[in-house]
Amino acid sequence: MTSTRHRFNINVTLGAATVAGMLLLALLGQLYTPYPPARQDIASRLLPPTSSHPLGTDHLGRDTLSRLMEGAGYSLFVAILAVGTGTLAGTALGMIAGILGRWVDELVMRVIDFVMGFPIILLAILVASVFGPGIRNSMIAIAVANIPIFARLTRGNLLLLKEQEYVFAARASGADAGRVLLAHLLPHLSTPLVIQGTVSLGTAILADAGLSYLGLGVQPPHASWGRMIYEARSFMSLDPWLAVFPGVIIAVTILGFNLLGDGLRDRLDPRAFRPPRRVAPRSARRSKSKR
Amino acid sequence: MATYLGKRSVGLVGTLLLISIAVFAFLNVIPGDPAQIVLGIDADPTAYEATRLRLGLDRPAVLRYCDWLVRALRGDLGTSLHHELPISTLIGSRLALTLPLTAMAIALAVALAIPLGVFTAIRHNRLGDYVGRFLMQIGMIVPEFWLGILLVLLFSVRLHWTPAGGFPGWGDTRLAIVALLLPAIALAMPRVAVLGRLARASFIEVLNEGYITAARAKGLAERRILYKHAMKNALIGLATLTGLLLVQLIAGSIIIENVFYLPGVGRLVFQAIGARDLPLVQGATIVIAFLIAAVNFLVDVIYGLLDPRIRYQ
Repeated sequence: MTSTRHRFNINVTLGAATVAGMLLLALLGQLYTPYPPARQDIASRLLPPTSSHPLGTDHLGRDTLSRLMEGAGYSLFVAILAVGTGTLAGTALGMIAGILGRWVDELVMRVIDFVMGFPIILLAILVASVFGPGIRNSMIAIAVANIPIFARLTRGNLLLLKEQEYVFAARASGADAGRVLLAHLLPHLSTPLVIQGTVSLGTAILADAGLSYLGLGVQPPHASWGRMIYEARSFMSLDPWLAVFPGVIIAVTILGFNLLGDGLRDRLDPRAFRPPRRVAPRSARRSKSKR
Repeated sequence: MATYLGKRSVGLVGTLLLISIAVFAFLNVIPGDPAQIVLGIDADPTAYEATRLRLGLDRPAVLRYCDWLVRALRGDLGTSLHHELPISTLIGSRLALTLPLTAMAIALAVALAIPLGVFTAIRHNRLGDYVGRFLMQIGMIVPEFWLGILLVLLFSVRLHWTPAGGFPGWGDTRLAIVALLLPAIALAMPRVAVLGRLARASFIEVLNEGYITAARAKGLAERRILYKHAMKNALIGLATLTGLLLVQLIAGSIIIENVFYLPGVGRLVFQAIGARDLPLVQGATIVIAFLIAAVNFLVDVIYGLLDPRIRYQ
């Protein structure tokens, strides 16, 4: 086990580098952009990539690179805050359900199953029709959609861990419930939470892009990746680049979180499923020799 | 099986009731005043009173819900404020697009994912496997609405093979199917990736089982082993995931219908938000949530049929 634990993991490295790069881009975008992201310049509209506008300009002459940088900030901000809230609330609920058990557990899990039946987009539509569209509301929808995931994860692991010998030992040595939970259980609960959190961040980026495509996320004049794709839809026969760059940056960001999540699972979670490391099944070898 | 079905059906009815209560409560009780939402903040007081009466807001929310429920059971979901048409008629006509679109997408996803899973499984850790896994990784990270736009860019703008959006109606079936083709592909691709990965993993597992070795020892043809002996066992796990993906598809169609300007339920509900048509938002979200609950119910039933152990838990 130790050898696999400390083995260099290409997924973690690539994923962490991509995520770090995006975070840097987002931070930089808050401090400096080549042009003001909302500044219109009708004279230089729908430009292909040039030296003065490395990623071109949109239908109002706004600089695509500057808008992508501004959008990075909103995307990551929404994702991190929403997943963070969802993790805290979900973990707390899962702990309550797992520790108290009985009818509390039953009730919490029923409610959670029910919320899980609502896709993010439906939650966002409900929130938006009452409170109006906006960044706060897409965040609420994504956070609510994440609560059940973390609650189930925490509860499931808690039920397994509660029966471990070291927990009995801690209790026998006089530790109270709070100490058992914080000092003995939480460290073991946190690994799957970190892995799930990473994966959820990728999903949140995707959801946020979809919601802002529909105009339910960040509102103009601020730039968001999803909305940039929406705006490109009308001008794509004139300037296909407009639709390409925001999509690429969304995909790369999600890829970063997915790789990091996969890599962390391989490295941190000893119970993770690993496909049997055998040579190719015989069917493969045989069909090869036939050819 | 009858007990199992009975239990599940009671569960379904309970879920449906809960959905309608939750949506109703959210749209009616929590924010305070639906009439205000419909008219905006600076509404004229007389118009405001008229809308309050029209929405029945002079009566308690519980009574309004009971009324709504009794009418909904008779198939009457109220009247849309914006379209001035019965909501059930509106949703019914839009389902004629959304349901075929979803069906096409899930059929496409399954039809592509299983061969892809088999292909990568029998080439485990060889070039074909790596290429397949790479493609599936791409499929997982590409947003479906962006894929939709790229497809339009290629097949409509450049090649002029398909229309860039819109729907001609079911009068000419061939044209209608062509119009739904790109949206169905855009919806299917992310699911092909997820389903293909699971298909690959379960085929690899099944192909290492003893009974496959036994079948080989008997001298059965490899094709027969793969499609008869391995397929059956590998498919059980895929059934549940397909159900889950169908739920995702119903949700995803809301965005895709807006990308391709298709007059489906998703576009209806989205436009209803813009028009502040609360009764329509309420009706349409409840119908979409019902569809999802129904899919989950069917998955449970099918799973019970496929795997007898589930029934006796």
